[in-house]
Amino acid sequence: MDETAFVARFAARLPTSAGRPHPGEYPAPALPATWAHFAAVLTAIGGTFAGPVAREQVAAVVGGHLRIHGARRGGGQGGRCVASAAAAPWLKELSGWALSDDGIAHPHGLADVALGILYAEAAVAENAALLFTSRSLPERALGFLAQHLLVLVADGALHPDFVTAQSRLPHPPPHHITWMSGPSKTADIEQTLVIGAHGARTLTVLAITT
Amino acid sequence: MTADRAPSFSRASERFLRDGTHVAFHDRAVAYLRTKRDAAVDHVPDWEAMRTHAAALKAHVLDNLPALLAAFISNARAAGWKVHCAGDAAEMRDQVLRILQRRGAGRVVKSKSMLTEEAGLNPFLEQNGIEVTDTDLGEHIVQLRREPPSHIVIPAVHLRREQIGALFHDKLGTPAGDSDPTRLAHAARLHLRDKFLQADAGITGVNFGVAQTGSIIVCTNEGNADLGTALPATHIACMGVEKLIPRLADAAVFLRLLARSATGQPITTYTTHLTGPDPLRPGHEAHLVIVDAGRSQLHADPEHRRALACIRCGACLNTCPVYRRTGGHAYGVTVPGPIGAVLSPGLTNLRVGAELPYASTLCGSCTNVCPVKIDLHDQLLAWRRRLHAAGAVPAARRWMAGATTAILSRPWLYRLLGRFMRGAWRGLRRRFFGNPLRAWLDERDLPPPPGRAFRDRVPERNRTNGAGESEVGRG
Repeated sequence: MDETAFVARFAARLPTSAGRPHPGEYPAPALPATWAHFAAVLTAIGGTFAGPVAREQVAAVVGGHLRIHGARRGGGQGGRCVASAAAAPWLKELSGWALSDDGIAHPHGLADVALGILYAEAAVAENAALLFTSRSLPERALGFLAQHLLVLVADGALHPDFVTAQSRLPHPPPHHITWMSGPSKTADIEQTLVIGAHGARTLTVLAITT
Repeated sequence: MTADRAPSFSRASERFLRDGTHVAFHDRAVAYLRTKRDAAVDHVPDWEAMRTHAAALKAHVLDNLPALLAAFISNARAAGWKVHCAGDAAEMRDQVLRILQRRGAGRVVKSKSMLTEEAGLNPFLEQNGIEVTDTDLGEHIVQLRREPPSHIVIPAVHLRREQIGALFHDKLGTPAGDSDPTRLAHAARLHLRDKFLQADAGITGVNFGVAQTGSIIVCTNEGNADLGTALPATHIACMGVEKLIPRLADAAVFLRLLARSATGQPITTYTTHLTGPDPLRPGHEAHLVIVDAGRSQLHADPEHRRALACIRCGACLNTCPVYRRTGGHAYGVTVPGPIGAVLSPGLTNLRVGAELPYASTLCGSCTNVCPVKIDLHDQLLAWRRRLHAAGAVPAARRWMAGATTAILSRPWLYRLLGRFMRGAWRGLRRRFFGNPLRAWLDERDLPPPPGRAFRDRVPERNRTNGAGESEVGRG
């Protein structure tokens, strides 16, 4: 139906009293901004935490993941290991991974990814959420199609609480913003927690001292 | 909620109650969600402050709905959404079908959306040759069974693993007798991966629509809404008007409340904000269908408009002793439980779900757990008053209410009947109450009456305690 008439349906029936005002900003709760807190929450929801590690140790940790998943550049039986463009600068010294740039326009091509390596713009200690946007993850499908995820994040990007974190989202917002907290999960069968519903079956966060 | 009249709650709940073992299973399963919610809330020191703030935000939205709605539509258009406004469920169904037909989309993946359930979207699209796959695991289970969800967060909470194992064996080819939840969930993962990859369009619900930016926020734990919007070339988001919030920053309060109230998680695994089409994907289209379907009618009702503040966490279902023991299907409407009993007559008419406001003990537990402080038990009571005034309650219930009013408003009659009943109770309770209270007595027996009235015992107790006038004696 016509938009003006649609809005008028609600305008015609407003209460006679004056509308209540916006209550203002909600104050951020006093919570610790520590990786220990983040790690505790992440572990409780099925994720794994590593670090914080120094920049020079990143290659060793990521290399271990590449070996575990048996991925090799160009594809193969073990599936591919693909990194987002934002994560790529951290992986220069390593081999065994490919860049996901083709996955932006052709997301279906990422269906065989075994390990996705992403770079999160921020993290939240309160709920172990990691921030990805059109800027850090333009190849959006990679974050959901990869069987396993390894997420790099700078240790200075940790927010204590979600109120602060949400208030710092970019304005105007880009096409997509995702807070990702742990691996995909479901409890739809008799309340039994199953990790790996549709998205990543494992999620490891590597905090990097910068 | 599209039916003119919901099926009888009494008869449906009676059927559910016949299997005592299953009732106990359902009660435990749902109560477990409440337990998890409580454990999560205990770790949030500002929980009550947050509830108060969320309630104030929703009150602001409801009082300023036209302005916020207009701003939302304008900002959504500016962000590239193709915005459609639907006055009712039929218009919404038509709009979605037209979009799909214009895009040549024959295969659709859909994430959980109570609005599309309410509007009967799936059967309508299927009748028009569209293949619709519900991708939330619980929704997929009930879709395979050709039945509606029984819970707004855990759609298949009424089913045991063995039932799902048998279903998957039949429909997905899993090994006979396998009812392991992990293996069943992984079988569904494989099956649905193909659906995601083949889909021409993805339909999602909307948890929150942000007026300030024209963005929508979609929350899932499985990642199905993200796959359903990151892969297909067309995204259709269906949103009830009540999902509006003013600003992006305001979402923090609701997102901190939502998952904790629903499942005890600190936040849903995937909380995705989408603003228009993806400019990096050539040909990608994003459609936003904003739906009234009775919301304006409920908004115009000052006594009940607060029900539109609901964020669909399901906490009131999980704590409700009636829902836990009757199951969601007994309600006969899309949203069961206390919030469904409040919404159903408000979004439709007094005939739909006229029994539902009575499906409550009025214990107030729903109100206590509601993250946006909807006064649910008061709302239920208010609906009862309105139903009674409209003559929409059964004659037996009207008679009982009339008799109770007559007795309780005459202290002398109350005392007289009390004295009479204490003497005649044992002999009369089965025979006298055999008719209107029969169902109640089917499940339990009445306790033996006390020898003396409470009113007579208090002075004696006060004398014995030597307290003169005790706390009990006052008032």
